Amino acid sequence: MLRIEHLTKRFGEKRAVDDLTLHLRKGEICGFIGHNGAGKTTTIRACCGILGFDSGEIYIDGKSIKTDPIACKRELAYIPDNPDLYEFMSGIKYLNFIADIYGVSQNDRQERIHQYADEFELTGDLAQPVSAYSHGMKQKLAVISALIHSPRLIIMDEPFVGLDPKASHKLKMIMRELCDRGGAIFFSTHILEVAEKLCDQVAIIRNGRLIKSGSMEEVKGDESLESVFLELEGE
Amino acid sequence: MSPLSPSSLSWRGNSAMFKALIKTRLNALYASWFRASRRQKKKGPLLKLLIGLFALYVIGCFFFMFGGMFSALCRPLVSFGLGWLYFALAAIMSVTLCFIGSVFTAQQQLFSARDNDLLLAMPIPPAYILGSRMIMLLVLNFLMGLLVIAPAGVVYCMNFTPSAAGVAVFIVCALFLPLIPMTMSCLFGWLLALIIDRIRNKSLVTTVFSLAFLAAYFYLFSNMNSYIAAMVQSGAQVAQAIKSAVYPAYAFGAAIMDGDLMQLAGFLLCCLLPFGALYVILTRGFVRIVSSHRGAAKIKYRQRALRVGSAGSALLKKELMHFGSNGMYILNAALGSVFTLAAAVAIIIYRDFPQTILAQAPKLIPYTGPLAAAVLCLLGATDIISAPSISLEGKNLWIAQSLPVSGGRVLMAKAYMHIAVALPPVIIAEAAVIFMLRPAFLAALGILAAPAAMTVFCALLGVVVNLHFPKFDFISETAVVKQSMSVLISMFASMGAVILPAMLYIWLLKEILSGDVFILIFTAVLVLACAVMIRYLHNGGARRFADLP
Repeated sequence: MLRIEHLTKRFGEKRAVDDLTLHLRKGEICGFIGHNGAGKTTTIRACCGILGFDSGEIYIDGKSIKTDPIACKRELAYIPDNPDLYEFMSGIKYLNFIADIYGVSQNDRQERIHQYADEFELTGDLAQPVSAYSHGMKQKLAVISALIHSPRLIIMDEPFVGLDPKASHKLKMIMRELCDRGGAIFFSTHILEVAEKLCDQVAIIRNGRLIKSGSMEEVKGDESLESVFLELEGE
Repeated sequence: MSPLSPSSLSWRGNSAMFKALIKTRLNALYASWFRASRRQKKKGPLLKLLIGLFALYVIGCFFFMFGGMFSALCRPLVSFGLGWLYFALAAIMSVTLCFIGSVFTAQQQLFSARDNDLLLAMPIPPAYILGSRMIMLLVLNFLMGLLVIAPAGVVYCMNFTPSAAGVAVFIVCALFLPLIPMTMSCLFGWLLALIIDRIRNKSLVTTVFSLAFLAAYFYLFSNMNSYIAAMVQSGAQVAQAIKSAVYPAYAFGAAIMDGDLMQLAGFLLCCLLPFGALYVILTRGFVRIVSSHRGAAKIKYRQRALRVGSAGSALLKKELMHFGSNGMYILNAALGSVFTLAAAVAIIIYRDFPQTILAQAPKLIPYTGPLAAAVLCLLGATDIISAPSISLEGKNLWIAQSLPVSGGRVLMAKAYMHIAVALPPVIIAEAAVIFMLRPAFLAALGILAAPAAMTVFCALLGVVVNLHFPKFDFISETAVVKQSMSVLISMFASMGAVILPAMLYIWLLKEILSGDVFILIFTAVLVLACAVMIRYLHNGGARRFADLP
């Protein structure tokens, strides 16, 4: 579903991502972990077609993000680390805008918006301007907007930050359901317990280089993910 | 602990902190003019030259305007023994201009600044945060006030020889005068912030307030000649009225004209006392004012059928919503459209005005059509709606970049937004002009085609320029709309696109081409330029947009 091949991205002299290769199959949830500034967000932004890269390739369901970015973007949804949304719109207008862009039919958008808004307890606030939302509410809105077009791949940067425990739990369930239906999820997180419980795959990045990846069992063995991570980080 | 005297910090530390805050504010003011974005740290010498030329042009316009007004007032008033009234009127005009020019800036900079939370979370006394912002406002007010006070002083010196003491008092008064409009701006900015916080349609209120200010300003300015004549005729009554009702203005005039030190002291007290009182009040309540937003009443969501639209219409609607959400954006970027509509109404109301002008200058009769088209083009060229549209994406840029639509479509939506706002007033004005002037077919074609083409040209040009001069690191959207490089270049280029061909025609082509034909050729060139820009936005422009940071 997501194939990253020898991805390299430089900012000036610095290699933010260095020859990173990672494959994610349908039905898998992959946790992407690393210290601050390791290159997680850069990799994620490159996968979503927001950030160009110097060399390598990224394929979304076999299509190149370089040569066919629009087709790739149709297949995926992106949730950034900071839910900066259009504050001049109301929640419902923002969701309808996203639905229009992805060409979601009226029945589907109506059903999905209200289903997810109810699940995330945001329905009562949908008419409010986004500017009046709290950080957590914006994060919920970003999650709902990512789900409107039933993406096959969701790429998320720290998706649990700002969510209340109930919404976090709901998001984890939605992530699992999406993968059970043949989708895939690639997300970064600093909450190793969540990654350990939720992910089928894990990838650890340090200073732009992938230092370990594979199934959760392969990576952590009998240890906790936290201890493996700290060991790899040289702590 | 009192916010005015944080005992935990040493005087030296406090002083350094205050200086750092002032420096940051002044740097921000400087950067809004001389720096484009994080990527493009400094503006090149050519752009700085352009800004300098523009600043000179604006200063020149104000000097010319106020200089003319003061020339008509100076000699008669001084000869009637009402020299103080001359300076009092200068002070009133200066205060009015500064107040109109800074009230919204005060509201945004003091009470709605994005970094208020950040600064309040630091161990900085609120008095310093407020003080540093007020100093920036004071600098702005001083610069604006100078546009009135300096011509008043120059005109007086051209007519009379002032004493050294008079000059010294004039300088002192001119230095302190900006405190009055700044105090007024802060007070009204506070009221505005309170009102805006409680209402739902913020942009409508801001727009109505600003348009009211603008209308009042233009009403006063358009009647200025009759006011001046009335003032010269009944100077004594006006003097008495000002003396009794506007004491600070009287004290200002009397201190300068008569060297009256008591009046100087009175004037300085009028400047300092209200400012000091407001500063203390605002400082004590600053944290509460900026952090306790009551907000508008919650809007209840009622489920209803959602409207389905195409991706293109969704992008256009989004742009229009953004435009409509910010009163400052509407007022600063679409002023040309307001004037175009005003021109359409004016030509219907004052239907004899064009004929009067033509009767006085019969040589202009063959150029009636081209002149009308040029005026409408020039009015349209002052619209800069699309010029800040990419910058205004700000932190939301990731949304447009991650959507499954080409960058070209996103960029074109911004141009369409400009056209959707600016073209209807142009068409109304064109219809009014054609209806009133009844021009020949070719002239009518020029009046119809050229301003419409100019509108599309300005829309596309704004996007192209903004693509090359984006500014995403803004604190307030107003800074992007009012002061960004993209806006400045777009306005210059659009006006140049009208003025330069007009000069070319007047100086070189008048003898070989009729005005009507020239306007049609000009329109064809505009259409060609539009085609080139559209092609660019869909190709190189889209790639550039994808690479924006």
